[in-house]
Amino acid sequence: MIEELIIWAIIGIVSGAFFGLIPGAGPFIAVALLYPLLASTSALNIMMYYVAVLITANYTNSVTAILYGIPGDATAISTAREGHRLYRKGFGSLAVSSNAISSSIGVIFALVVFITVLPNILQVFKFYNSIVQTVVIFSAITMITFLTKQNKLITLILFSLGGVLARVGIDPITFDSFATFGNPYLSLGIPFASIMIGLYIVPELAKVHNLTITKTRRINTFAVGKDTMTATLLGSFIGFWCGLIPGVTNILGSYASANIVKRFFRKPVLKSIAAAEAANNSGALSSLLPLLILAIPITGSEVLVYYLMLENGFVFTAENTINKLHSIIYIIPFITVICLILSWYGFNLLARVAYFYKTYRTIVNLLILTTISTVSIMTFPIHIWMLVCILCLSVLGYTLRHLDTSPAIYGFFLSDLFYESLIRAIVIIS
Amino acid sequence: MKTLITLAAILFATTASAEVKIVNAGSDTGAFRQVLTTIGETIDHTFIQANNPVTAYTYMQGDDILTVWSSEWPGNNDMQSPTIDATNLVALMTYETMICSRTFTSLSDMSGKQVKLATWGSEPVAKFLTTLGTTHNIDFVVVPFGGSGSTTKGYIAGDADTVFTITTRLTAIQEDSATACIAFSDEGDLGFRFVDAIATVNADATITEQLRSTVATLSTSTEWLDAFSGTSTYVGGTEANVSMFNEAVVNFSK
Repeated sequence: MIEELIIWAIIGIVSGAFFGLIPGAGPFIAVALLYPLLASTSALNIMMYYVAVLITANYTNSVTAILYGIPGDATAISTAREGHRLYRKGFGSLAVSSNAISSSIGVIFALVVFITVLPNILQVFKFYNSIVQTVVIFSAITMITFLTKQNKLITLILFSLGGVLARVGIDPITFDSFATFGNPYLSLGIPFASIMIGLYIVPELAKVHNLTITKTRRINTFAVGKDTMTATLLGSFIGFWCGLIPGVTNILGSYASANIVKRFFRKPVLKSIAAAEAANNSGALSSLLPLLILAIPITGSEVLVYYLMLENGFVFTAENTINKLHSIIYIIPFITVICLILSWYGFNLLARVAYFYKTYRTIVNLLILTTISTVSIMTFPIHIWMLVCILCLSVLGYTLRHLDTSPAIYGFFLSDLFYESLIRAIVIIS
Repeated sequence: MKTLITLAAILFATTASAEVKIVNAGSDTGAFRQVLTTIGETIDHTFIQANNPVTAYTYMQGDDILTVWSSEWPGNNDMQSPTIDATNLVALMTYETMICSRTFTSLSDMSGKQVKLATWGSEPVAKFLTTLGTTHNIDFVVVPFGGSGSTTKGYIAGDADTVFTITTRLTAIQEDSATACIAFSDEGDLGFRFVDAIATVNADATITEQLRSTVATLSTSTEWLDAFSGTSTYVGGTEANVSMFNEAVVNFSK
């Protein structure tokens, strides 16, 4: 059992390291690519893999941020701004060490809070009624809409598109059909995998394809920045609580921490990187709590993990989390140590991998897309329907490649949850 | 001879451990899932969470399927169901039902009042509650959930003060110390119980027989009796079991 867990942790580290380096990929594609393999393993292994990916990707997404000023994902924006500036001035080694050390402290901080809070988390469940759930999901939808950088109307339209696509098919409770037009294929609904591929992976890979990258200088010294501990702990604390907010999670945490440090600390450049990275990693772990305790995935990659674990027979409750997943906690410190070494002393190696990807991105992207699509088609019982959905949605996704299409994914998942909770809340209040 | 026995043993082991596809046509928190997960822990399997019988039926073209199929479904002309007979019926489970409340102490106590009731929103349940409401002069307002698991969660979280669910959930519901369970189908208070078939589809007789033996062992274990207290499990494709299922199908027919 433990050997299997360690193997999944290692696969997660390798996968997280690589997909963290690809801007826009991150944990979502790391999980999507191994979907069929993960579907055949236990819920414990799935969560082990995901935690390893989540932690590692949050270290390596700062590599392109520091070297090129291109954040691996939205959580590395602060590091991209300040870290790349330091790198150009010849102080790249300080940004690298700050990323490595503060990220590790962020993980350990979250782990300690996790262990302290978990035994009493059962009480949260008693207060989590349909009205609270409706408010939480509504907040998530509002956050997704208003914190986006793109036009809010477009975000709302994309969210609604996801919601409409989710409703196509037959209702599991009432057996009423929606937009099936008497077509037996449409009565199956739009498979989630096709939404994920067409409306998220295709536009994201299309965006990365257009980036221009040049070769960078090596980092030959391994300096340590001073006086970053307070900023790191502050970032860890802020990041942990922001991680619990659906829709924004560690993105808000890293952004808010970096800005607070810049506003209130002296000599804030390095400290803001430390705070942002600590918040990023601390928030990434705390964002797992709503999924594990309340069965509410609040990030795109969590949606995938949620489906995978459900299909595996896992029931998301506090008891199951404590009883069946606790062994992951003991592996996390080891993952953290490996990531610390990898992102600090292995920085130049990661930089070479990033450059390799940039050079061969067309082939790599096509390989990613083909693998995910083939596996999705083969695992869905009606192959032709999955193929049709992937093709149609990929065309749509490519057309929308200049937009942030993630609201469509949130819409697909959250709108049904919101609708069901809202109906109950209305009955309860009335 | 030794080689032959070894080969036969390998062949048997391969047949016996052929991977079964478990297809859950119920919700992700309901009792069907709990039954299938419990069986799944003892066999090599892949788990498919289909969420509803319509989607679940699309998986029935494959081989070696194990599923739980409600007697509510074959009588519904809007959906297709696999044939359930003596060849593929692994076991039958009957789920007794109950009404529990933290506000009322009996059905007569509810008379003349509007009662908000947590339960799942399927048509047979709605029909039964309307009849029960008319008999006892109760105006039931359903707070709808997707399965017995989420119904229990919702009740404990305070979404409604009364719950109609299966007796399998009795222990979880009684975690709320203010709750009293006031009416039971097995005591004749409620004329409604669920009859579900655990059945194989497109599986050869060896696999079906192996699953019967697995369920026979499981259903006498303490874990099973605790997890599904309030249910009865009848193993095998006997004439009596098939008749019981078919009778329930007729009762639930639209």
